[in-house]
Amino acid sequence: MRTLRGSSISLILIIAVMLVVLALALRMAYFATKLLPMTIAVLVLILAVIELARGIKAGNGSGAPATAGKGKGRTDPPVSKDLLYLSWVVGFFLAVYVLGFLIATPIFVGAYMKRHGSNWLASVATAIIYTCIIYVVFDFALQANLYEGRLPIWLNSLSG
Amino acid sequence: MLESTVQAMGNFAHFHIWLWIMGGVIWGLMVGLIPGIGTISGMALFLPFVFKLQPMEVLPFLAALVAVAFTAGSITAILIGVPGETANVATIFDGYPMTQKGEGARAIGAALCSSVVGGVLASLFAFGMVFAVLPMVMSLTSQEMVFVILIGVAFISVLGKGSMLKGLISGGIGLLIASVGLSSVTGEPRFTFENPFLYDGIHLIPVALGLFAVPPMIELATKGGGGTIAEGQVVLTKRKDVWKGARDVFRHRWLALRSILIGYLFGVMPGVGASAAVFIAYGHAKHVSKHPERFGTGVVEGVIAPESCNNAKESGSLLTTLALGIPGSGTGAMFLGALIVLGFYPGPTMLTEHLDLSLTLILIIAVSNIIAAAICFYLAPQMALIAKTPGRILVPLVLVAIFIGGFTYKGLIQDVVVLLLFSGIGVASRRLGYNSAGLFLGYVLGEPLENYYFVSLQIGGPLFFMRPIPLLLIFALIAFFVYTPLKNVLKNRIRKGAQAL
Repeated sequence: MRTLRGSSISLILIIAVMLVVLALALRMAYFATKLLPMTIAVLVLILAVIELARGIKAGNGSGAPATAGKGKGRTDPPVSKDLLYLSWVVGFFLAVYVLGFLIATPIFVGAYMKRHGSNWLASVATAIIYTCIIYVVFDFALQANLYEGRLPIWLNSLSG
Repeated sequence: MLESTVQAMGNFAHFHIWLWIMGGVIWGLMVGLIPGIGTISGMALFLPFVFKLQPMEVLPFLAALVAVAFTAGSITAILIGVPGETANVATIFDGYPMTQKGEGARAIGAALCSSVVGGVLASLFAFGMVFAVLPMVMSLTSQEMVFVILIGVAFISVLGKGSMLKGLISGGIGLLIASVGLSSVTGEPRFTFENPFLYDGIHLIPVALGLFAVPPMIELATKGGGGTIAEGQVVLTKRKDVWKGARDVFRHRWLALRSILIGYLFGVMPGVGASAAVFIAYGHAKHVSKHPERFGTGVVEGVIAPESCNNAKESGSLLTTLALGIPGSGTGAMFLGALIVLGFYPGPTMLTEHLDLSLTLILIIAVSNIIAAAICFYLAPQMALIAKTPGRILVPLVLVAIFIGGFTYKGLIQDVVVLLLFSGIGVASRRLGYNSAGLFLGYVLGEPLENYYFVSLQIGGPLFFMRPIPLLLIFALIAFFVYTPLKNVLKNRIRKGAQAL
């Protein structure tokens, strides 16, 4: 049942997005501009409605009959685990946005390793060594100018 | 053609090509060894550097990576019972029992020799096929290319895991994502919401990283990031038996050749991944064996068949990717993405203007297999230890590398937001039965499709498809989509009829 609900929600979301795409495409000035988006949006809309109808008709939580026999045999971990680790990813992004790569990286690596069973020494050492490697390879060797973060940029603007 | 052949071979006289091939081999072996990373993720991690390098650095690296990842995966499959790649699953059935019986070295030798033979022979065959395929590809015009692209997107969307309709929806969404930005036909902005970042469209690197590099890390983390990936000791006794295993391949040469043919043909077919091909090769080996009951207990034929097959597949896939722009799998879609980023559009130009490059890439697959086998012959037990890297170390390090890759591509933090968004889409796709490879291919081929379509309209008007080849392709497309449901309906009716009787 949980799988069917997730699948149905995704299809409803897709239908909503396609309707928005159609509405936006209709407002475009040139026919040549709107033709491909409108054609694809209509096709995707039709397919999504059919798949949603099939899923609701199937209704026993198998996630639509057509999935049977394809990608079978795998027991998925609960959705909450995916969301948990996605939240780690989002958290890392927010840390990068605020603090920059060179500060966020050791915090993220160290926190992740410690949270998942490594001892303090291994976590801190890995975090520091990896950050040094990142700095040498990207900032120093490749001159990639890693993102500095909003906070350091703001602090620099105050001091400068 | 002779000139291109000579030029292709002449490319190997440049030392830097060998450096990039070695780099691709080593990186391919590493990503192939570590369960959870895989070829596609390995390619996605390298993509951010594509813009900073020359084509004759990037493409040999990627070709070598793709060629050898399965070779490395066979080592962990045999020694630890954990497949490095999904295409190595069938190798476990007999490879791991051989290790348990003390014949691990022999299994390794058979796997490595099969990989070399499969990769080299299929590459040479693909090399020859280029000249046979060339006249056909030259006859393709814009009108045909519209339907070739549609077939490619449809096949790879449908033949993957998950429901057929969800696969098509994924491909359609990919085509829509490609339309974001300034229209290549009229210059009018589409779906940009007056955001300057979106005028350039959604960038390829963050999409690739988000769809293919982050989800495997999430999956690895959810499967127990606190412990080791692979339990068990790495046992390899009687190392000289490695050569006995290599001789086994020549003893079973006809089985190896048939498996290579299966792999090559499946490589040519779009949408059929390596994992399907190797199971068919394994099943064939069991079927033709004098002692099928021994399969699963540790027979060398159970290693030779899948390993010959999975390396041969890449040569077939590369040829159709280059000649037609229809990749055989997600790996091919990534390779296609790299080609387009570098300014090479698959199709007639790859087999005319850039024929030497195409031939070089095919030969690199052969060369890479030989190099990888040589490395693996001596370092197999040590390499297997890499698969035991704890997930709690691997996951954060790889995620940081992914984010840095997404940022350094253009130096825009907005690309990292795109990467984050597509990470969510990639994770949701895996869980809900959509097809990330189909979505990515739709995204990559969206712009060429639109361009070919409008050129076709200019040349032939609304009925531009009224030509033999487009009509044939349309028929093939319709037949493909009608066949499966029709077959199911007929099967149900026959079953109901039989029950009634």
